[in-house]
Formats: sequence, structure tokens, C-alpha cells
Amino acid sequence: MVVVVPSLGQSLNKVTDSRSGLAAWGLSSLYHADQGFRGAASCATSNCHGGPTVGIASETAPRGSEYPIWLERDPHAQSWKTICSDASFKVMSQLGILKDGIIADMAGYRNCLACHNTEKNLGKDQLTPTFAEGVGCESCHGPSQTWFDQHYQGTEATRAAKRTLGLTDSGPLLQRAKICTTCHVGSRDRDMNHDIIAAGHPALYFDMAVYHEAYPKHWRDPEQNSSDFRAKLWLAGQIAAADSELELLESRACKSLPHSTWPELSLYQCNSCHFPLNGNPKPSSPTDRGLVDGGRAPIREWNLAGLSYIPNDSGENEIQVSARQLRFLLTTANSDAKSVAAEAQRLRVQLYDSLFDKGMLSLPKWSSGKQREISIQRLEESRRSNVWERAAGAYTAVWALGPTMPEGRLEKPMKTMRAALLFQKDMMSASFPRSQTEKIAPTSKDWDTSLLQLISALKNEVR
Amino acid sequence: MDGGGSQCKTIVLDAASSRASAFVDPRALFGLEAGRFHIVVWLFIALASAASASDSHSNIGVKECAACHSAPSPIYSALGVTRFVRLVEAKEWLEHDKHAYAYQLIRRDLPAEELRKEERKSNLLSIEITKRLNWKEGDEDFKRKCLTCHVGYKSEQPPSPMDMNFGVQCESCHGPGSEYTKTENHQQVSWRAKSPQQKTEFGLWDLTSASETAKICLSCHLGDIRQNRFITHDMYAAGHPVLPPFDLQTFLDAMPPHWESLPKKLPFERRAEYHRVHFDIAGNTDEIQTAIQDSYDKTGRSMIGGLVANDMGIELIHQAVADPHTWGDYSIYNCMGCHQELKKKSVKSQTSPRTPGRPFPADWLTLDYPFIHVSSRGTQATLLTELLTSFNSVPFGDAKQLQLLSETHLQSLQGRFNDRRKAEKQATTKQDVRQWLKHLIATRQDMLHDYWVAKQTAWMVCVAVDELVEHRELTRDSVLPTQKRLRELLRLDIHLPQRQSVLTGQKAELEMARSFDADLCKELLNDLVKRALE
Repeated sequence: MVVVVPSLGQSLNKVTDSRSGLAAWGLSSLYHADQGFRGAASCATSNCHGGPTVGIASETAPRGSEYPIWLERDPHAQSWKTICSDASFKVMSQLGILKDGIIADMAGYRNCLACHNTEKNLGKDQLTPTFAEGVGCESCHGPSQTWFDQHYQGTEATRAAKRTLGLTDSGPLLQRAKICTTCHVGSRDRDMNHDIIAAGHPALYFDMAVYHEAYPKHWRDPEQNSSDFRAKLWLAGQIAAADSELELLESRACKSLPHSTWPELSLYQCNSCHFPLNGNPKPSSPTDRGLVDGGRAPIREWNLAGLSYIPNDSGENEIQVSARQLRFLLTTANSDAKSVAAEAQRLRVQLYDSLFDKGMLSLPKWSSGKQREISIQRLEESRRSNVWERAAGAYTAVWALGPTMPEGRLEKPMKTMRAALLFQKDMMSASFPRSQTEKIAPTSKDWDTSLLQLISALKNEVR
Repeated sequence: MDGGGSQCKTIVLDAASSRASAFVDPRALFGLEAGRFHIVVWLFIALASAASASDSHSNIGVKECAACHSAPSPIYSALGVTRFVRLVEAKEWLEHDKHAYAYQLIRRDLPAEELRKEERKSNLLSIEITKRLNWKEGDEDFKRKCLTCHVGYKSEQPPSPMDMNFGVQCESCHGPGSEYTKTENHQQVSWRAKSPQQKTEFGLWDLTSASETAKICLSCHLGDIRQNRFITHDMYAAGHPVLPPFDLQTFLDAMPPHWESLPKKLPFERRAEYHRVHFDIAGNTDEIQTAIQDSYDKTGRSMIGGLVANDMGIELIHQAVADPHTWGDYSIYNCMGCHQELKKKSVKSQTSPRTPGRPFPADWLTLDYPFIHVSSRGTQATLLTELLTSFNSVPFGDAKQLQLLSETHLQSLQGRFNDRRKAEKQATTKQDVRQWLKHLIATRQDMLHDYWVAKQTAWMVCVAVDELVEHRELTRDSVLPTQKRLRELLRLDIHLPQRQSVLTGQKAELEMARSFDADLCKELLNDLVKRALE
């Protein structure tokens, strides 16, 4: 289906249908169509990507050890095992996906596999995927059937040619981030919703810069040592997450997946509902939970915050206007699915329109000054409210700026912040952050002091 | 007494002016000498009724009732009227009943120094709530959304500023008095022999009927969107205390009685005709008297109240689904379904299989009550299961299906209503009580993890057990220790000083709802019922 709405922007006919989502990014092969997979092992020949692991970290060493790095160190290689764990078994049983150990809801099961395994075609036992390997090469680089031969023979020369074949271009940071958010936020063919969270799956709090830092990389980035690399990753992640969130939102509102629900509760801030009632006749001020209109839950900002970072040409840009409208629609009593879907689609078209540059979606022009402003703004917001995700978002924004700042300026206040936010596993929160349910324990006045210190450090740098 | 008289004038003046009156202690009204006021009022009534003889009944205000019902005049005492009617009803209500303070506790027009007092914290909260809800346009929202319950406010006939002071007043529960208070009606001896239906035609609601009574109580204590008696989630979020569960008899017991209970409406010789008219009890005078004395009246009211609560709960769902403004309002869902700490054992409705992560209706809206008198229970139980399934099918429930189901339910309402009317006019026997206890405890086994269900169940069980003790079927000692523990565990006592707001206990109540020992509660309740049935 091709939707051409000329009034909405010149880039639209280039990116074709906004609902095609990944197509606009040149990543459409990541949708689970019936493409053929060959499995990670097919990449692992010793002459190709299965070489010895040494050397990859060194810039001068030849490539060739991608597969063993993935296999031995990459958590993605474990994700099929995660599906097979007792905990997952419990989650799937609670959801009615499994009944007495048999798959009772195939669509629901495939939804799990869509993120937890390279492919979701089942083998003869109708339980195990053909390649039960976790998230393998083709999950991110695209199913290899269309490009394997040329890639093997080394005949695909340009990036554009690779893209056409379906070998995804993970070089540009924005595209790379979108590959991640396809699962770590969601897409029109994978939906990790409130039902699944309630059954025990951790809620998703993806941050590109944080995850990228922790990732056992099987590649080298030429820019990786430049001081703004982390900050650019952060920005790419924010924008990609926003796009994926909108894509998922639209899909949910159109009920395009059988297990998607509407209204969808995971769109809202967890702690706006999940806090114990205390009967305090003076409840914490509404801003503490970011409450909208008395008893309505505010929507989660974690993934949509990126919409604010698209450059404005003049005054308030159309993206901000649409984003406000979307928030309004989602927080009124009966968030009407059709209007939400339409607004989400409009936003994505506007987003693509403003990111479209030189034939592809590109990261907006980045400057450290701009990002300091963003970070200051987010810290100020955190001072005004005790919403966990808002403060945690501010933290990662500042953290991403770290390398651009003189050494030692941020460390102490960042440490205080980290302690109050109760991150688990160095921000790679594998389980739900406990502090979500309550206000951040601003343990002492240290909390506010540390925010102020950070703001002043960033402001000094601006001067 | 002279001082009282002058105060009376002030109030009448206040009432005459359309402006909201300044703070008036409602008790001040009754400082006057009843007889004098009485005559004035009589004159007033005579004039008023001559002026308009309208078919539809309207409210006449507290002072009209109070003229006779605050203290018996010497003439009435001499004539023996007080052997039939106490004539202190308004005084009892005003001096002891919390309903009389329903408005005083939330009024916002108090002087600043008054608001600083500790006992005025509910008034402060009331001001806060309206602020948080952004209710700005005059007092309209406050009247239409708060005073509908706190006064019995009707926009088509707003109470006078003076009547507002009295909170939930005579006509809020007894019906609009324009017709039945006329001299030729309820002041005549012949009135006693009129059937409840006949009296209803005059506007006097039938409070001899448990189901009618329950309906009136529940229109506020559960809600009725049609009458704008509905606490929305926005209102709760702004600070309104939680609505407690409801048991008719427990609540009636907690009210300072301005009436006499049926067995006490003796000596019987003057009442025989009254009883014949009001209750389907056959036989001669002695037999009727025995039947009434032997009847387990309180338990009967508890049963009927539960069934009405069930009907009205489903009606509330129906109203909520039908109105796009209220559908999806979180207040019809179980508070603890969402308001729980994550990573803790969650509260789950165990009555039907549930998809995790979906709000489920407040248990008290869809509770099943055993109806031991008639056999129509089966369909009701099926309906409840279907409702719960429908609530679970999509987050917040499938509106279309819920509307259909509640519609079906409402269609059968009249039939079940008639069944109940019949049942409540019959005496409740010891066997009925035993059956009721047995069924009640059996159907609630899986739901006692919900604090409010547990509390309501315990109230109902205690009513029945206490009545068995009263009838000497049980010894007090055999049940007292268990009952005492239950009372503490579930905070069953609801007696609060008249002028004290329920806010006082809110914190403890919610804390208890979160942390009460459900297993112990189950054990105690089962033990209590076992002892009662032995």
C-alpha cells in the first residue's frame, strides 16, 4: 500500500508509505516476512566471520571474529535460552500462550519469538524455531537469502546496493538505533504490551547510548573515540525510539496484531497507577506523578521524548504541535483509537520529512551546545517533579554528554543521582526498577543539590 | 427559650434570602420551643397546600418535619400518639446521626479561623478537592457532583440555603413531603392502615421494605449515575475518601435509630392492623406476634440488602457503559488491581480466569449473593461470570458486550425485584439464617483476599451470628473471641462521633486494605460460621 499525501511533505513520496515503517529507514527486510534465513552458523566459516576473537578491539587487526564475539559475549545469543527458562514458561502460561506445555496461542508465541529469536518459523515439533539461536546475525543484518550469494562473493559494492538487496546498513547511527528499537521498543510486528509485563516480562527502558556502551561490539566505529560519539548515539536512540513507539502505537490502535490491545496500558507511566494508596488526605502534588486532569494517567515519555529534539526551523514546529495533540488524545477518557492512529501516522510523516536528507533519513545537525540545553531542560523538569522515568531520562542525557565535559565535573552529582534512581546492573535494568512504584526517594536534599550542580556545570560549559 | 425564639427568626430570614447562609450550626434551629413553632408551621403548610395542588411531589424542607418530629407536644402525648410514633425523630437525627453533618463536613464557606481547627480538616480537603478538579464555574460542579449525595441536592428543585445546612435530611430518605405531610394525610389515624404502596403514591417511600431502604442507601453508598451520585476516579484522585463496602443491617445498626425496630413496635394490640398491611404474615394476632418475634429480621435485611447491592452494582455498570463520559472511569474497577506495588504478590480476582495486566471491576460491584428464597439464582451467577469474562476480554472490558449483558440483567430486574419483595415480607427463619451463612461463606471463599469483600462478608456473618445469639441459638461466649479478633483484623466497627469525618480512619483503612492478613481472616470467618452452624 502506498499512501501519497502531497500536502504533508515532499519526502513522503520518497519514503512512500509511512505505515511501512522500516521501509523509510531502508530496513524493511527486518519485518518478519517469509524471507529465508540461513542461521548464524552460516556466517561462521573461519574465513568469513568465524575467525579467532583476538584483534577485533584493535583498530589495525583484520576483521573476521564477529561470530565468536557474538556467540561468547553477546547477550543476544542467549535470548532463545531466555525463552526456554522457567520464568518465561510461567509468563507464557499466565498469558495463555502455553497450556499444559503445548502452544495454545500461536500468534502470541510468534510475538515472543519475533524479538527473542532470529526467525519465528517453527520446526517439525511446532515448538522450536528452525534456527533456535537467539538473536543472531540476520536479526539485525536482515535475512540472508536475498543477499548471501553476492555478499559471499564480495560483489555488493555500495551501501545503497546492499540496502537494495536487504542487507541492512547499520553504519549510520540513526539507522543502527532503529535496528535496536525495532525490538527494544517495538514495531508493527512485535508488541510487548502491558499484559506481558503484568505476566512477568520486564518493562522496556531502552537507551541507545547506555546499551551501546555495554554492548560487546563485534565491529569498529571509526568515530568511536571522538568526544561526541556517545552523545550522537544518545540522540539517534531518542529519535529512533520515538519513531518505533509511534509505529507501535499506530499498530496497536489499528489492532493489527491479534494480541495487541486497546486501550494499551503500557503507554502510560507505570507509577501513575502503580503506587500504594496511603490515604493521605493531601496526596503528593499532581506533578509528582505527572497526573493529567485529576485522575488520568499521563503517558510514558521515555520513548517519545526524542520528538522534542528534532530541529525547529521557526518557532514551535509542527512536530511539537502534533505531539501535544497525541498526548491529549491519549489522556482523554476514551482515547479514540482511530484518531490516535491517524495522529501517530501524521507525526511519523512529519518526522521523516524533517529528517530526510541526501536520499535517506539522517541524524539532525548535532551540537554539544544544543544537547547541553536539552539536558539542562530535562534536569529542570526532574527538579519540578519526582517522576522516576523523567529523572532517569535526564540522567542518561547528561551521562551521554560526559566525554564532552572536562573530567571530574559531573562525577559526584551523577553518583548521587544514580544512587537515588536505584539503577540495577549499571543502568541495564534487567528487572523492573523498584523505585518506579514510588516517588524517587530524594534520599536527602542531596538529590536537589546534585541536580543543581549538574545544571550549573552544564551552564558553565555553555558560556 | 426566648433566646431560641430569636435565633429561629434569624434562620427563617436566612432561608428567605436566596444567598447562601453564613455558617449556621443546624442544632441552633432546635433551640426553640417546639409548640410555638409548630403552630406557625401548620399555618404555613395549610396556606402552601391551598396554593398549589400539584401531582408531582416536591421537598418541603427540614423545618416542616421538625415542627412535629423533634419533641412531642403535650397534646400528642396526652392523646397517646407517642405510643405509636416517637415524635423525636428529627431531634435524634440532628443530635446523633452523621447524615445530618454530611454537608457541614464538606462545606467550603467557613471563616478562616474555623478552617484552622483540627476537626475541620475534611472541609479543608473539600476546598482542596474542588481546587484540584478545577471546578471554577460558580458552585455548580460542587452542587451537582458533591451535594447530590451530601445533601440530596436535585438541580430541578435545589434545597433552600438553610436546608442545605442539614446534609442528608428527612426527605432525602423518606421522599418528598409536599403531599403526605398535608394535614389530611399522614397526620390522620387512617394513615396507619394505608398500605406502603398507597403511601408511596403520596410520596412517602416505603422504608418498611428492606429492598426499598437498601436502594435509597445505595443510591449514595454505591452510586447512581442518573442522579449524579457517582464518585469518579478524578474525585478519588483529588482526595475523596474511599467508599466503604455496604451491608444494610450493619449500617442501620450504626445509625442512631430514630425509628423503632419491628419487634419493638409493640405493644402489639395497637399494631395488629399495621402489621397485617405491611407484612405477609397470616394468622391471628397472637400468631402474627409470635412470627414477628421469632423472625430473624436483621439477617433478612442483610440478605436483601446484598441482593439489591448486586442489582445496583450491575445497573451502575450499565449506566457507566451507556454514557461515553463515564465509560472507562477507573472508579468502577478494583483499586488494588492497579494501586499496588510492583514486584509484590498482586491482588487478583480469582472468580474467573484472568489475563494479567487488565483492570478488573471492583469486587463489590459484581459480588454474588446467595438468594435462598427463590431459585432464580442460577441465571444470576451465570450472568456474573459472563460479565467478568467480558471485563477481561479487552483492557477495561468490552463496552458493547457489557452493555448487552447488563441490559439483559436489567430486563430481568423486575422479576427478581418482585421475588425479593415477596421474600422480605416473609419471616426469616432460623433455617434461612443457617442456609444463608452456609452459602455465603461457600461462595466467598475465593474472594476473601480482597479487604473490602472480606469486610463486608464479615459484617454479614456477624449480623447473622449476633442474631442467632439474640435468639439463644448460640451462646455469646462461643463466638465472642473469634468475633473480637475479626473486628480488629478488619476494622469492623464503624461508630464514629457524629461530627467527626471518616477521614480520620482513612489512612489506617487503606493501610489495612493493603496489608491485612487474608489467610487469618479466612480462617476466622470459617471458624465463626462453623461455630454458628454447629
